[in-house]
This record gives sequence, C-alpha cells and structure tokens, in this order.
Amino acid sequence: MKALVSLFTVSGLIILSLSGAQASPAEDLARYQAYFAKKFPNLTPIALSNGMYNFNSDKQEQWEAIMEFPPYEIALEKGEKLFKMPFGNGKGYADCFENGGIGIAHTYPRFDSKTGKVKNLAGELNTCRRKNGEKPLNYLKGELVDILAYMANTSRGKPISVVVPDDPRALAAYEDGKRIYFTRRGPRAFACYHCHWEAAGSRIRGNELSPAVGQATHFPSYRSKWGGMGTIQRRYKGCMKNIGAKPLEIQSEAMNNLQYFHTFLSNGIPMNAPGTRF
Amino acid sequence: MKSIPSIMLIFLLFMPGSGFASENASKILGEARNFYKQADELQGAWISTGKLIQRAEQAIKSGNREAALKMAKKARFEAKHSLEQARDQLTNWSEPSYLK
Repeated sequence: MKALVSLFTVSGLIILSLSGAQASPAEDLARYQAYFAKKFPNLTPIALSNGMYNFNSDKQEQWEAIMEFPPYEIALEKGEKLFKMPFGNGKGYADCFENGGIGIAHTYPRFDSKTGKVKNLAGELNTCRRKNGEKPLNYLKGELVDILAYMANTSRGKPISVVVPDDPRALAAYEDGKRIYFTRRGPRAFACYHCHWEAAGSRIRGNELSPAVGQATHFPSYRSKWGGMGTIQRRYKGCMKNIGAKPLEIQSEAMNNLQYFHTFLSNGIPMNAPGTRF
Repeated sequence: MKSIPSIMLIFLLFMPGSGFASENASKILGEARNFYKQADELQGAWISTGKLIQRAEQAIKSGNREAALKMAKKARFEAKHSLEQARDQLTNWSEPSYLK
C-alpha cells in the first residue's frame, strides 16, 4: 500500500516538475490515483494495469495461459517490419520521430504547442505518411495498429508520462477531456466513471469492470471480441456504444482530448502494451 | 346538419393513411432530426435515436403512415431528451462527490 501511494506521489511530482504543469492536473492526478490506492489497497500499480483480471481468478488463469503465447505477437512482428519498411521516397517512420520512434510511446498523447492541439501516436503516424507522400492508414485496425503495437512494445516497462505543459491551451484540452470523461451520456445517463471508478471490480453481466487508472497502459490490445488488434480509441467507441451514446468521431479533437485525460490518469504506471484482453 | 359534412371531412383528412397524417409524420420527423443534430453537435446524441429516425424514414418511404408517425414521435421524444441531457451536462457535469 505504502509503495503504491509513494510511487503515485513520486510519479505525480516528476510529471509536475518536468512539465511545469498548472496545479490542477497534478492535483487531479494525486486525488484520482489515491482513490484507487484506497479502494484496492492490495493492488500494486502494475497489478492495476492488469484491469479486470485482478477480480476473477478463473479469468486471470485463462489470461495468463493465453499470455504464454500472446495473440498480439503476430501483429508485433508485422508492425516491426512495417515500421522499418521505407516509404516510396526512401524515408521511413523513424525519420518522423525523436529517437527514431523507439521508446517514446509512453509519452503520448502529447500537446503540440505549434497547433495548440493534442496529438496521439496514431495521428502522428498518419501525419508522417502524408508528409512522405503515402496514403493514411485505417485508425482503428490493421497495419497502423500493428505499427503502434511495435512502438508500444519498445516502451514496455517505462512509466506512462503524459505531460500537460504550462500552456492555457494544453490545460483547456486536458479540461475538455476531463469534461467528456465525467459527462453523462446516452439513454441511461452513464459517464465513464460510473463503470470504471465506483463500480470498478464489480461485475456487469459476465465481465468485471477494470479500474480507470492503468487502463491506458495496455493499448493497443488484442481483444478476443474483436478477433484482432485495436487502439484505445476503438475501445472508447465500444464503451460509448455500450452506454447507448453515439460515439465521438475517431481522431477528432474531442476524442483526442479524452485520450489525453484518460492516459494522464495512468501516469507513473509502467507501459504494458501491446496487451491481450477478452 | 352543416356540421356533419365538416366532421366527415376532418375525419377523412386525418384518418390513418391520409395525406395529412403522412405530412404530420414528416413534420415530426423533421423536428426529431433537428433535435438529434443539435444533440450531436453537443456530443450528446443517442445511438437509438439515429435508428428510430432511419426506421421512420423507411416507414414514410414504404407508405406505412401509421408506423411512420409512431416512429417519428418516438424519435422526437428521444432526440428531445438527448438534447436536454446534453445541454444540462454542458454546465452540470461533475466529478463524483466521493472525489471531492
């Protein structure tokens, strides 16, 4: 318990000092993570990122068995090949990112001070393609997600480090994501927090609900329900459909802001992507 | 005596299957679409409303006026509620009390 609280506190302070962020997101982070530390005192931060499998030993065993030969491995291999394959002009994805795109996935989404918008890695990959005369790829599944899986894997074990810089536009984007997260939507007037805060660890029909903190660490993921890989925004879309709300548009400003806020909740927890989920 | 033809005329105009009934469904559907669009602009549209609108459109096309009216009314009812919800949440969203 002490380790959990101290890791969260330290990670919060690191992010705060790195970013010079306004107090509000850092204070939010401390409060939010403390809520889950209190709710699940026996779960370490890494365990939190294992989501629903903490709450059902049968499923946890099945999941661990699946992870002996993770179904995302094919995507990972394919993603590496695609990442290293040069574009028509001879350049490649590595030329578009710092450190050649290796070990940076845990720092996304990022606020871009030039455009004043939040950018996620999926969007940046397609921006890279366009800059190099290539057609953009599907955001939800397929080759783009395979590449994301490879990039995420190079960040595995590194703590999620989403920064809200000292820029009113960044704070506005963060606040917008927070608003979307806590807004009741759909005919049953559900917000994200209804399932993933107070009801985390409880069951809805056959599934245990995962805690909000830690969820962003394992995307992209292979989901048995999808029969393949998908991004976190694909998952948001599914969640929104589940509550009867018309999903926000993929890669829209609103969806990116939601991802910004939601990923920020997992700051300090090691990246564990790509992941596997039922 | 004069009132009998008038009553008959009104009955004929508004009976299910008459042109007026279908016009009414179209009007209601227009209102539903308008509410739905406004709710969508506020990120608050509901999936089921879109489906109801589609079903009402299909019923109008196929000439099933009774079903069209029923679906259009349902769509308008839902769309109006989703818009009210979206407007309310713009200013009244909040973190749960246990986080404060």
